[in-house]
Amino acid sequence: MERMTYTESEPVEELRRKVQELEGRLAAVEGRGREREERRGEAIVAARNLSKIYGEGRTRVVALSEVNLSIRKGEFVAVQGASGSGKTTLLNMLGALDRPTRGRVVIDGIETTKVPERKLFRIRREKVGFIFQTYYLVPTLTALQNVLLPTMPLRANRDLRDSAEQLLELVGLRERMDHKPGELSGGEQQRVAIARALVLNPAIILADEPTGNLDSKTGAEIMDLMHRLNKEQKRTFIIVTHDAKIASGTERVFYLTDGRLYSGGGE
Amino acid sequence: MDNVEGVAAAIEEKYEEGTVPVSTMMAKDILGEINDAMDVFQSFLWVIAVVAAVAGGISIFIVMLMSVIERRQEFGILKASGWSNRNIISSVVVQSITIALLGALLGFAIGSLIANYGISSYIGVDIAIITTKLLGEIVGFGIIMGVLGGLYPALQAARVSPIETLRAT
Ligand SMILES: Nc1ncnc2c1ncn2[C@@H]1O[C@H](COP(=O)(O)OP(=O)(O)O)[C@@H](O)[C@H]1O
Ligand SMILES: [Mg+2]
Repeated sequence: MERMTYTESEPVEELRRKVQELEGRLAAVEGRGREREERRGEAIVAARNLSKIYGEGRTRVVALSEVNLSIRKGEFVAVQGASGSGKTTLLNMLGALDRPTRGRVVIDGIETTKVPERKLFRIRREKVGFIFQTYYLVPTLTALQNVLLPTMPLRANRDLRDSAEQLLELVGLRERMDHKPGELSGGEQQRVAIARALVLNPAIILADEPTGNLDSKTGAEIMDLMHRLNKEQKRTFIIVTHDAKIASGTERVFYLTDGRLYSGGGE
Repeated sequence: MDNVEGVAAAIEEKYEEGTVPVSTMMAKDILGEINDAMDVFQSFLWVIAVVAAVAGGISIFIVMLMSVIERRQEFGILKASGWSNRNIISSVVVQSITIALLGALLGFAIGSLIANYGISSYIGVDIAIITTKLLGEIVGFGIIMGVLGGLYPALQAARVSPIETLRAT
């Protein structure tokens, strides 16, 4: 896994990316006036009438129902909801990891719900950083290699390695960068995961119960770190949690109940 | 001696009516028989090589498939991190080729050591003659084995669904 594979030639990919972005913008402009308003308000991510239904017949579950949401660049928002309320489903839709049954998602001007499956990886790579409850580091790789994971399909370069090291410095783990996940505490592993989510400068960072596996003190430290990255680096965070205390520390809280999203305080 | 066959025929004719059966054998015939034996031996070696290749290919296939199944979650992470299916496939195939090449070169090294130091000490000549062509063939063979054995496991790795493997609860 240490090996890097190079499959893309830069200029063509760069053009393709631009075409895609323009297509997305065109789609957004052609859309309803509401979306145009959002663009003016610089929504970095927006969901419109988003529904997700799993299964059918007797096993049919409506996990998300007509969700609308719009988040501006640089915001730090929380979605609070009980277990099974649809938090993970919502993040998967916003992060282009899964497709909604109905509705649309626009990230950074690109209507991701219209991007064909084989091109979605580029959205995930360039627009989204994921942080999970159980960190999901690769156990055989060092902290630094884990941070570099999203960059491995790209042409290896000095800058990427430098920014990975700087991020590890920023999360306070520079001197642990050659350690494997097994040699790090839960809080430290989550810090590595945060650095990994940031390494390609995504438009949005989505965190699914990022403190769910940590004791309350370590959890608070992780929240502090994410708030600091939001303040200092203008990173946009959307975290989901069942914990009201975690949610209350953020700028804006949405509430998710049985797949329905309620906004706390005016949108 | 130009007419070896003529002489042989003459000898056999002369003794034809004798009580002792006489048969003649020429160097050419002996050579032909050695050649026939060598041909059989060559085919036999080929059969061994093909069997070894199939066994090797299957071993690589099994090792890679097990490794891919074991690392499903890792492939889920890679996908969530923006790796394309092609990125994942080439990464797994490269690993498979690496294993196959190591195997092929190691097997070749051990084989020629046994041939040239073990067996050849009895007959006095080197059996395995190492040429760049031979080395090239072995490397090419390793790559083919790696691709054949690793392709299906790589496709399986690319088919991993990140939402399934990364579902915590
Ligand atoms: N792949 C799936 N198939 C069927 N039902 C699912 C699937 N994923 C989630 N669900 C259901 O959708 C609902 C929301 O799940 P989820 O988004 O994981 O909630 P949360 O993250 O808030 O706990 C739950 O009732 C869950 O059982
Ligand atoms: Mg969840």
